[in-house]
Amino acid sequence: MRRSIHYFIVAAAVALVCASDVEAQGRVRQADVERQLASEDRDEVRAGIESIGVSGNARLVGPLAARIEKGLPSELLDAALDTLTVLARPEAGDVLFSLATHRRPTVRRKAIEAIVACRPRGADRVLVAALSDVDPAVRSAAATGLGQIGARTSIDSLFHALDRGILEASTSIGQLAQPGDVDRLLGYLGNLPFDAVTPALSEVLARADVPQQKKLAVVARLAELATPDARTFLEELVASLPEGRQTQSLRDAAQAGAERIVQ
Amino acid sequence: MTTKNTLSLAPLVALAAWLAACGGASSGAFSMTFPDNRADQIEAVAARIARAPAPDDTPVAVGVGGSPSRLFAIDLASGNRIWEQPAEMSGVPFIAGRLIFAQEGNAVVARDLASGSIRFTEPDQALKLVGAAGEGDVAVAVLSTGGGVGARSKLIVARGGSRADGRDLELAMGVPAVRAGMLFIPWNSQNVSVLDAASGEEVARVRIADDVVGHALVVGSDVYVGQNGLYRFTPSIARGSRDGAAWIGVSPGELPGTPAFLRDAYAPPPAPRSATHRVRLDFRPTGTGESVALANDTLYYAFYRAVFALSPEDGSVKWAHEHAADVVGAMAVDGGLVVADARGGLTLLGAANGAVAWEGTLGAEADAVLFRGGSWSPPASGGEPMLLSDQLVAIAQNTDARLVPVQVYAVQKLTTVESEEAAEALITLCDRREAAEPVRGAACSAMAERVSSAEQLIAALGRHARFLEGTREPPVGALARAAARIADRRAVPHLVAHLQDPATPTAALPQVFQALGALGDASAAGPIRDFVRLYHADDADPDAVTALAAAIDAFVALRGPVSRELLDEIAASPFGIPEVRGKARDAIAGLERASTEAQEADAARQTTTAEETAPSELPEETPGGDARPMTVTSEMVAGILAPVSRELGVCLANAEGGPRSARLVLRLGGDGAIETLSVTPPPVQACVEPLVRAQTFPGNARNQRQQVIYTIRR
Repeated sequence: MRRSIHYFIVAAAVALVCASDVEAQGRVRQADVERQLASEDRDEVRAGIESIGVSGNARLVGPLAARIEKGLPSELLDAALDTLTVLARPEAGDVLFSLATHRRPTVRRKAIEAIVACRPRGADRVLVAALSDVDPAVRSAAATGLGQIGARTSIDSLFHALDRGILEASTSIGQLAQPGDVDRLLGYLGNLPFDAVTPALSEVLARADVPQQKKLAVVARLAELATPDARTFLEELVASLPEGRQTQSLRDAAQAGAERIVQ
Repeated sequence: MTTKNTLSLAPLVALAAWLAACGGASSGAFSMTFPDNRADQIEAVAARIARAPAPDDTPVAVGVGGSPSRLFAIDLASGNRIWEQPAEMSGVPFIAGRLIFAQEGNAVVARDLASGSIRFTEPDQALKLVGAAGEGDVAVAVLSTGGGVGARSKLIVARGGSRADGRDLELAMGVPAVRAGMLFIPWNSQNVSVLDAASGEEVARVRIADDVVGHALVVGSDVYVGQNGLYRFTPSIARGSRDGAAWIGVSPGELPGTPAFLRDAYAPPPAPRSATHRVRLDFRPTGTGESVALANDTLYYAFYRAVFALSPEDGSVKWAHEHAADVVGAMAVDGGLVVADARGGLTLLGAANGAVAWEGTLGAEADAVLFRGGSWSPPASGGEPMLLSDQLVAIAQNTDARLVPVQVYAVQKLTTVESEEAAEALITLCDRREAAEPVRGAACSAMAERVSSAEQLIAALGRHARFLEGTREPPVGALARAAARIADRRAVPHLVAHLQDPATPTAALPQVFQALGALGDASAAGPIRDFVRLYHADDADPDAVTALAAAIDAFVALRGPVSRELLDEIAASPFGIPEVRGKARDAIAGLERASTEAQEADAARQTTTAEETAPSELPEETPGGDARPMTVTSEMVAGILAPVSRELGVCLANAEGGPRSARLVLRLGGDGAIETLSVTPPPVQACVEPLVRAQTFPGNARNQRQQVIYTIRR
């Protein structure tokens, strides 16, 4: 009987949180799970895959990876990927890297999401490669994931992706941008749709590690832009900034900038 | 009957003579009793043709086009438009001496060529204007029902621009010609009656028993008749057969649109806007004595905007030309081909290379254009010649959807061009997604058979679909076939990379696997095994079954008996796609069959051939009681390989071409380690090598590197 993957993920996550002695539990079950994975019955294999997710036993990543490499029907492969995502173990890196070039786009997207969750060594390289995937959903997942794993070396690729219309790269750029990258980002204002750039700007303005002067430069550039969208953005920035001396100058600048833009 | 001109006395006299000569089908012209193929009569006609001065016709082009339809005439020598008249024609006009005949409404209208004014009209009696011709003052027009049984025709003769005679006949007539004061009238598919233009008497008749004669035409000073081929009217035509006559046929092969050498004269003539005028063959016959040939040995073929110069013998392409507009008329001249196009352009394409050698204008758009060039040829300049491969590629890449058939034809012709440029062009065309599928398919098929340069191939295979870089995958399937054909293993890593690239179309994967199997590089076995394992149970893509079957074949080709482990795994896989499991079982059965055969053969024929290099001359005794041999001999190799002799035999049986034997050259280190192992023929190596390397060879007492040659047989 098929079960909802989403339901399974939620259940597995809850089980992970609630398990008091996950490793011990996993040790107890390992032989059973391996037997289930080797079964000729689909339901039993599925049960084995799901029990790995529930147990959270990192030692079962290897047997699950081996089972994946031996070939699974599509729905069991999807379930196995969900399990690896829930487990979030870097040991799953090799099989996930392999699945990142699977012929089915759904599998590739799930593999990218699992890589982001597992953060194995070399994840940034695989995600950058996935920015060039032929499937837009895979590209989007990769662009989002690069920001999530903090792959700062991928910033040029993300700008390239933004140039090529992968809008999810915007948020990641905002998350990863160094001060020197902010000026490059501001160059996109007026050249790309405003909505494509604002996710990056929002991230930059929210980050504590970005110098204040760079944030003021962002606000000044938005004020120069003087579009209704820019005014709205600045007004929302003013509303979102917490009260305090540290944010006062930025709030003032945003307020002034918004007021200068004619309705 | 309506005549607008005033008859002079001379035509009346001639008319009386005509009426007498053509008094009835039983005794006069076209009578059933007139003797045919009389050598004396035909020799007299030929002599009369030879004696007559060459026609001195003004070179003109007559066009029809526009809306409302207009008829116009151009003086080719000066380029001037002579006249233009409104005319709603149901067929193309014909130039006939000083007249132009055209069918308009329910009548045939004769116009003055010099002014366009109507000289007379003739009710068409529900017949079609088949053709007209003239020389000097004499002109003749033929109207006919065409067909065979129950056919009717009407022959209209004009002199001095006036109607002189009209005859109704119960037979089918073809396209006439006038030369040396004689009328040449093809009829009933096999006959040509030669009538004296002055008297109307039939002076000779040709009957061709083994061919169709529907056209008579005058080119230069000569008369030609024929339809599927062409007879020059010489005394030898009296033979009544192609054999021994001055005859030429053409064999251009299958041409898109199947244009006729000369259109079927007994079928209804095409309308002015018919595609017949745009899909056509043109030529200029020539000859001396009893010979006949085509000028420049060229048959010109036009398909809308594409023009080809073909060898009449075999259809090989001499040059090709992509024209700016549809060709609606053409005339072969000594210097090449003059084409008239729908936009009103006139262009001379040079006979040598198709370069544009002259350009003129009709001054108006046209649906159909007819030429009477005589000896005229435009003043030709050099023009810019292009490589034939470039000419064909230009046509193949044209975006005009009507050209698809001829684009496929151009691609096919491109495969016959022996040059690096042609091979590169095939790769480019195969890679062109925006091309029509038949064109791309033809290019890919041709490329797989034609490309011989590994460098070209590897450069093309090196590309992958990369969104950020804006690149697309190359035509992997066709490139894989080409790689297998040229048997260059440098392609293997590139093919493996495409095997692992999800952008590679599923449809291309079987060809990738086939190539990897044929190339015999063992390094591909691992990726193929991984592919089979990963996807053998993934039922999401039904098209992958073919690819998986090809992958299994490739794996067996590369690993031979060693592939059994994977095959057993797949065959027994509970979730495996049934077809894939079946394929694995088939492969296992194949291996077992080959093994049995090899075993039987092995028992009968296992022999060894040993050719030691320098070390073989060394003494075999081991000094000092060392247990190691002084040298490893081929007999020792036979013993060492005995446990795998059956598998080695299977390797031979499964290899491409199924060789009976293979030669191993082993370079062994002093400690017995295999340093190098080469196998001839190479396709066997991938299978044999792991089996040989899995065995342990002894070191030699001298602790020196040595070479052993050993032959495995099945």
